[in-house]
Amino acid sequence: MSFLLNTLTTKREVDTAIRDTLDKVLVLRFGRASEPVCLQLDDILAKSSREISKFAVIALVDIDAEEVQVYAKYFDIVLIPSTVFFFNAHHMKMDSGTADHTKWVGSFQCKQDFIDVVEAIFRGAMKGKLIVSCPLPPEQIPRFQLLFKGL
Amino acid sequence: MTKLQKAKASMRPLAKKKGESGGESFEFCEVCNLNHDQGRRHRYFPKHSRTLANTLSRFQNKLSELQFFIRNPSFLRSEHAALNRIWCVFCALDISEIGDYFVCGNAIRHLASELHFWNLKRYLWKHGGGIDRVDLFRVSEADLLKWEKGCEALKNVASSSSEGPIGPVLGPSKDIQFKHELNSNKMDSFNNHSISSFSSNVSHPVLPLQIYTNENYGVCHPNDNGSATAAHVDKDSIPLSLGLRGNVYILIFRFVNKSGVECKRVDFKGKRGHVETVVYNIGTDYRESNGALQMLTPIALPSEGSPANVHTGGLPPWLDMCDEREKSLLNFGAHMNNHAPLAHKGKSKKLNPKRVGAAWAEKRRIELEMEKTGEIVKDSVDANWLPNFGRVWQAGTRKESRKEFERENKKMFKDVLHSEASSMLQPYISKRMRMGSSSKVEAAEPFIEQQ
Repeated sequence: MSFLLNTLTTKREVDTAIRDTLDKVLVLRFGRASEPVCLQLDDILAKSSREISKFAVIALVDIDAEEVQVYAKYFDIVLIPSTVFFFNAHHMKMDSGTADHTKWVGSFQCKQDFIDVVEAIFRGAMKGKLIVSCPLPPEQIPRFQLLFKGL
Repeated sequence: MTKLQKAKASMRPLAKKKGESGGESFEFCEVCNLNHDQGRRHRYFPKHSRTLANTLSRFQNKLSELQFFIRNPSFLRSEHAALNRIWCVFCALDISEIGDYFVCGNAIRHLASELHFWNLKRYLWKHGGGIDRVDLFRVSEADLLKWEKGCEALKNVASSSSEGPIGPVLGPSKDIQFKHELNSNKMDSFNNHSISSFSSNVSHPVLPLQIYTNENYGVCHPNDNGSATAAHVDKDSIPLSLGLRGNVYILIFRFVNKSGVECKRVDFKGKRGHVETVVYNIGTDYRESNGALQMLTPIALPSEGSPANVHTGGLPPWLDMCDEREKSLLNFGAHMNNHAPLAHKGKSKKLNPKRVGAAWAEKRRIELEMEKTGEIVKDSVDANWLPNFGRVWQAGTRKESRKEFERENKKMFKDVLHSEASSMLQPYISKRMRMGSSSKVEAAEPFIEQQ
């Protein structure tokens, strides 16, 4: 499904995406197109891209690309798929009960969950909040273990 | 046995029933149209009191019209007697005006009667309407006497000034003539045009209403001066009834207008002293049937330069004004286009200035516009630019975390460079081994081998 969405492979492209998306949430998915959980997430992203097009933009970043590694390090991406949210070139955090508030690790159970998350981020961003709380119930949030720093 | 005695006798068993302990036997409430076993309590229920209030207020409205005719008795035409009916709620009987010479005569007599009074009291007691309101729903004896005197006076005047005997069914033309003469001396000023319209009808026989029409009630075409009205009155118009209400003189005609619709024309002397005329379609003649008139306010149309209307085949005003409106709309559209918002937004309302990255967004927007116009070179971005990111193990502001990352990046870069230079791997040799290596090399060997 990644052919339906923009795939970014260079740092420049990622920079452009972050800088030029104004007053809309930028959803950056870091992952690999061949990985099954990534595929599931890509499917959800592709299906909901039109519905959230008024307030969000979705872009995929290939984690295997070399130029993107600096971003992978900067964003501390160790598990894929990881989704990072931006609004007006500012990173948006979400407290979903997991240890990592900076990104969303894993896929979503359904399209509506994803839309709800993006909506919550948009609403918080419009109010001037840099961190928002997750609207989903805990059972629908994928759990993972965070690897230690420096490893 | 008189009627009253019979009625009382029939009521007695009911009264006994009420004396029993309530809540057991079912009885029918006429007000609510409901069978209930609440006994005497039922009349205090809110629904019952509401229904009762509605019924009584409706009856009171009918009676208010009746009051007018008590104060101003007038003759009733025989062909309209059949149309005048009233249902007395308290006595549960229909009062018609057949055989009566005066408008609402039978009704007035009934309301003044003892039977009605007794029924009224019984009704109010049974349903709890308030016994003190008895006088509202009946005609007192004094009023009845006044009315009868008025009727007598009318009769006497009519008989004294008539050319011949006036029976119950008079030629309507003569009646109208006499009524006109009767009332003319009461008028301060009366438009002669109306008089001429009277005389034009004198010679024609009156046709009773064959069909009881029920067409839509509405103002046909109001006229605002006497001269115009005279021209509109056909020779087939039938004068209906005459009445006097305060200083307003009322004359009603029934006729068929050009389009074949039965209309009613009401001439009345308005407050300004001249005769005003309103023409109505014959509608629900309930108001007419019981003889009472509803006074509606006529609207005077501009007499000079009146625009073409529906009847004369003119254009409706919204189509007439089409040209002007189109011009104004065009101007409006042009105005809007000049102030069109940015293409990608489409929202006219302002974005929250406190939103995340508002300053960045405004700045970037200006830069993009300038890039479009060509003032700035596109994408002159530093290759090392990083967005504002709050790291996982963040301590301090996001700027600090970015700087920390950049430092780490540089350090890593240097480390990588250094490590490339020394790529040879050496096994670990402990101090003991190094010291003892010179003296006991053989003893250390198995130790090293183990490692």
